[in-house]
Amino acid sequence: MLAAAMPICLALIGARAVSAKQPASDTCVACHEQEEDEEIANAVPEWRKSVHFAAEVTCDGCHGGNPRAEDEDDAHAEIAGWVGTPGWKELPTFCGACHESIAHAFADGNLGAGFQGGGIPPTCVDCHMSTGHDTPHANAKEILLDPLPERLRGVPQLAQVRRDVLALVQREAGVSKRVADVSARALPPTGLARDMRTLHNDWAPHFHRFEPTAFAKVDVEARAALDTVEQRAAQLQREAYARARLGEAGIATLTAAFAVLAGLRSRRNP
Amino acid sequence: MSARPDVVAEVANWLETRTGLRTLTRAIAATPAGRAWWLGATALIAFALQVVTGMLLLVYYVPAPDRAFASAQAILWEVPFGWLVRLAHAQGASALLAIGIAHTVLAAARADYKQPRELVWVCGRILALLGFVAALTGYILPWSQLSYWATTIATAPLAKFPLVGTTLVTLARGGETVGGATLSRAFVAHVVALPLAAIALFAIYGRLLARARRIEVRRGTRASARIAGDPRSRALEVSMLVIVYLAVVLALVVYAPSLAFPLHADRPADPLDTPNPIHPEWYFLWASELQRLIPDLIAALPWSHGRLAGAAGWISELLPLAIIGGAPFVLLAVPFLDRGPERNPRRRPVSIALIVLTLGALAALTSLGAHE
Repeated sequence: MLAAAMPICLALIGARAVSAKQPASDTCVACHEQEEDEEIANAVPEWRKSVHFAAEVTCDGCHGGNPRAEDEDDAHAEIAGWVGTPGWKELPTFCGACHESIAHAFADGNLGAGFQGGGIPPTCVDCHMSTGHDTPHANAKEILLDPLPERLRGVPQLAQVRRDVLALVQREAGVSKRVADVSARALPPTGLARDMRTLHNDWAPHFHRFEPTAFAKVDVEARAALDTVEQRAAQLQREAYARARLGEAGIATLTAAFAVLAGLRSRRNP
Repeated sequence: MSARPDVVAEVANWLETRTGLRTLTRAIAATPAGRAWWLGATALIAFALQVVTGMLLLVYYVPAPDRAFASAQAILWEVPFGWLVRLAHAQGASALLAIGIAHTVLAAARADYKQPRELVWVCGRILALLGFVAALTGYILPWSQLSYWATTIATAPLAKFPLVGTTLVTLARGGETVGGATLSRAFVAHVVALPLAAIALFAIYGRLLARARRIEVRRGTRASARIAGDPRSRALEVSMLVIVYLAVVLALVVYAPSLAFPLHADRPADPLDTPNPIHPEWYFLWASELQRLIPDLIAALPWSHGRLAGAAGWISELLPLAIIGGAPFVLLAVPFLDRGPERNPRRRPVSIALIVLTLGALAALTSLGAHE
């Protein structure tokens, strides 16, 4: 019975292995890629180059709807959670569905207050997207459009906060480099990369309030925390070096002991 | 010329009279050592290293939910050479299980379970299976996210057993969920019950093996022992084996420490935060994949959605458990299922095919599980 079960089991495993390689179907991409309307059709290749694609955020992740539906109406049905394209004022909430802490900081801050007064203040896409879906990769230099669009240059808080943020990001990049070096060494997980992410997520929402004075305080705290991480990283670099040397010495000693024993043995049994 | 009193010889004689140690070492030295003997010896060396490193870890480890993770991390980063001991224990566990698996495969291929070796096989396989239990119980001790959730996942399927499911889960966890009681149970099993059982089984194994070998030599089915066994040569060879094993573990510790620290092993246990994904250790991947595979396959069968949907669901839940739970019993029953006298692998095509297919299935499941 066992003998008969094994080939069946192997065949079934093989079938699963093949089926596991099939990509999940996504009708949003399949249909929108073939759209005649250029703006809609361009969304797909732009999204493919974006940070959201890299993070595996698919169309329905932001816009809702049913990415498995074959029918257009079913795909865009409200019952399937279809949100569609957000209006200008809805953008902070739309992006804030995922970037929650940033959306809260923005809404509470200087620029978000503009919405309350009925104005049209800059919002997420102004600084982070030149067109519809090409949200750049989340590295320090690319995450902000450079130069900022014309209509934003007159917003004084933006220019100053932007300078402060880029300076802090530059410091963060330096520490990240050292952390990456530690992570690449033969050590058990150190938690430093996670500390860096936590640290970034702690300070990043604050500058979205666009309050330079308040951000100055956050900046000082963030820099102090970065100093601590950098010191720990430097200590771990030394530790990794010492462990590697100890390992080499240990293996060399064991090899020498093995050679001595092998010599003694061959003397006894020539 | 007066004879110089040989103190060493006198002490040896004194010991020999009272313990029979020399006779034992000579008997061991006289045993022809083949691949299985050396694999067994490696398993014993690996076990000894686990005992030594385990005892050293106990000096600093605190088996309480609020302190276990911090103490395990302190061993890794603060205690002098704590990293060496902890990583050697973790890497040594994987090595010990790999040796146990290799020994089982070799013994099965050579039919080292046939008369009069039935109990030698049973004893050896119980030892190998205890290794897996030790791995499971040791996994929870650092009280990391991985420890907590891997234990939760490993014990959850027990609830699916009809009638006794809830009792089994409570027994394994010491409560409804994984918690302090689970940690205490795992700790006692890992540091007291399992090592004591293993030491006793190693002793029984040696005794049974020696007895079976004597019978085989008498019957002429096994080559006789070397007439003049040389304990010193064997001692040198065993010492060389110890050195090789230590060098391999040291290389793993120094150059591949992350192997012993999968994802989520570096964060403290948080019952409110389920990490995703959680991958079991390589030696349990086949079992976790089987639990995923069988329900998928049954769901793909046309009859599983009709009137028999209830039965299909029931089979989906119980079949993986029956296979995983039944596998150790099948392994232990091998000597009583295959009773023919033939030992030569070339004349046992069915047995060899079964071994190859079983290994193939396990390897395929492990590979699928690793890429999940």
